[in-house]
Amino acid sequence: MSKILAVAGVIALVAAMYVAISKVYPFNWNLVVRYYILFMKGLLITLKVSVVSLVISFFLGLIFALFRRSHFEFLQDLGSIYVWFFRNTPLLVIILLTYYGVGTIFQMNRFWASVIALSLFEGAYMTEILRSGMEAVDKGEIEAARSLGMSEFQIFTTVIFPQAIRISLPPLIGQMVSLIKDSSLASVIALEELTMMGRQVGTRTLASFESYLIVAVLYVTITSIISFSGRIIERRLSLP
Amino acid sequence: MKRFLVIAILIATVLTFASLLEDIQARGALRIGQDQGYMPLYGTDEKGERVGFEVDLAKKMAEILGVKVEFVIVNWDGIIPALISGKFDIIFSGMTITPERALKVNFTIPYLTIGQTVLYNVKKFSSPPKYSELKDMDKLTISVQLGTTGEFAARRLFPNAKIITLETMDEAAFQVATGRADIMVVDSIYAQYMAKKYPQLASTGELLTKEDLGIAVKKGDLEFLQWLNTFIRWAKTSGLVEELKEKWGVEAE
Repeated sequence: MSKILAVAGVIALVAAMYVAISKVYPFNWNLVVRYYILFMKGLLITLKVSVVSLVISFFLGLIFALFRRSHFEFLQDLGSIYVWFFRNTPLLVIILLTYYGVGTIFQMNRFWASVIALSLFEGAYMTEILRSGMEAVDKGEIEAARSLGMSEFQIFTTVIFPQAIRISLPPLIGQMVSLIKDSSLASVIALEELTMMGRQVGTRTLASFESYLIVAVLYVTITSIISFSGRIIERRLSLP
Repeated sequence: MKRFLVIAILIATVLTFASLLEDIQARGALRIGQDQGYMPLYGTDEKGERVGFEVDLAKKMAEILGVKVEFVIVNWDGIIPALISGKFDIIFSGMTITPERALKVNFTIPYLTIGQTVLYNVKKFSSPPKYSELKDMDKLTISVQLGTTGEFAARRLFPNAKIITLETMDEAAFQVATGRADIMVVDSIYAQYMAKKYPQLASTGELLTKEDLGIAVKKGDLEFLQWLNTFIRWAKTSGLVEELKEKWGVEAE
C-alpha cells in the first residue's frame, strides 16, 4: 500500500513539474518520436558496449582478485596498483586516454576503445567486490577441504568460488547497472550510443529536452529490468 | 465598459512589461552564451581570457550599454535550451540563421555571411579534393561538431559517408589531424583559421553552402531585438566590423 502511494506521489510530482516547465518551454513530441529508429540504434550500441565490457571486466576482476589473494608479493602489488589507479581516475579521463593515447598506437576504433576503457575501470571495482566475496568464505571450510587432501585449485573451484559468487551477487548487479550508466560517457569520443543519439536527435529537431527525457526513460527501463531480474536470481541462489 | 477594461489591461501589460534591455542595465552585466571555441570568432587564450571577433563586438556592445560583459560557456547542443531557460541574454556564437532555429529563438539581421567548406589532412589528400570527387568516395569518414549546420550539410551532401559527431569544433578538427576522419565539414572561416595554424591541415576553399550568421535572443522581446539590429547595422556602417575582420583575419562577406 505504501509503495502504491509513493509511486502515485512521484507521478504527481513529475506531472506537476511537466506542467510548470511547459509554461516556459513548449514541448514538441512529434518531432522527436519520428526519430525513434535512432534511439533504438543508440540503445543497441549501449547494450553491446555494456555486455562486452561486463564480460571482460568480470574476468579482469576475477584475475586481479586472485592476484590480490596470491602468496606472491609481486602479484599482490600488481593487483593493488591496478585497483588504486583505476579507482582514483575519472572514467572520462580513462576513455580519453584509451582512445587518443593507447588507441593511436594500436589503431583502435571507438567501439573497442570504449569497451577497453569501461572494462578496465569497472574491473577495478569488480576486483574489490570479488575479493571481499572470497574473503567472506568461512576459513574453517577451506581448512577442512585442505585436510581432506583437496588441491588448491579444487578448493577454489568447489569451495571458495561458488560461495564467493553468491555473496558478491548483489554488489555485482549494482556494478552492472553502474556500467550501463557509465557507458554514456563514451559519447565524448563520438561513439553513437544512446546518449549521443539523444543529443543528435535533440539538435536536429531542436527539441533537446524531449529527447533527453526519452533517453532517461530508456536508461531507467533497462537498468530496472536488470535490478529486478537480479533480485530474482539472488532469491533463487540464496541458501535456505 | 468591457472594451474599456480590455484596453486598460492591454496598457497595463505594456507598461509593466520590462524589456530585457532594462534588466541587463539594472543587473549591470550582459551575459553572452557561447560554446567552447570557434576561432577566429571566439575562443580562449593562454591566460583563459575570451578572445576573438565576436568577443570584441560583444565588449563594444556592453560598453555602449554601460555594463560588464560576462561569457557563459555551454555545449553547442545545449545552447538553445540554455537561452530559452534564461542562462544568458543572447547567443552570440557564430550561429547560422535557419528557419528551423527561428521557430525557437529570434534572430537579428546577419553580421557575417559564410559557407560550409571542407577541412582535410594534407597527408591524406595531396591536392585539394573537390566535392564532386568526395561525394562518391567509398568509406569516407566525416567529422563534424554535433548540432551545427556543418553536421546538417554533411548529412545532406554526403549521404554515403560515415559521420562522427564531436562535442566541440576543435575535437572534430583533431579527428582530421590525427587521421581518424578523412575530412571535416565546417564553417569556412574556422577552416581557414585552422589551415593557417596547423601545417597538416588545409581547407579546400570550395563553399558547399551559403549561410548568414546572426545573434539569437529569446522569443517575445522585440524591443531588445530591435536594439541589437541597430547595433549590428551601426557596427557595419561605422567600419567596426571591417576593422575587427582585419584584426582577427576573418575572411567572409
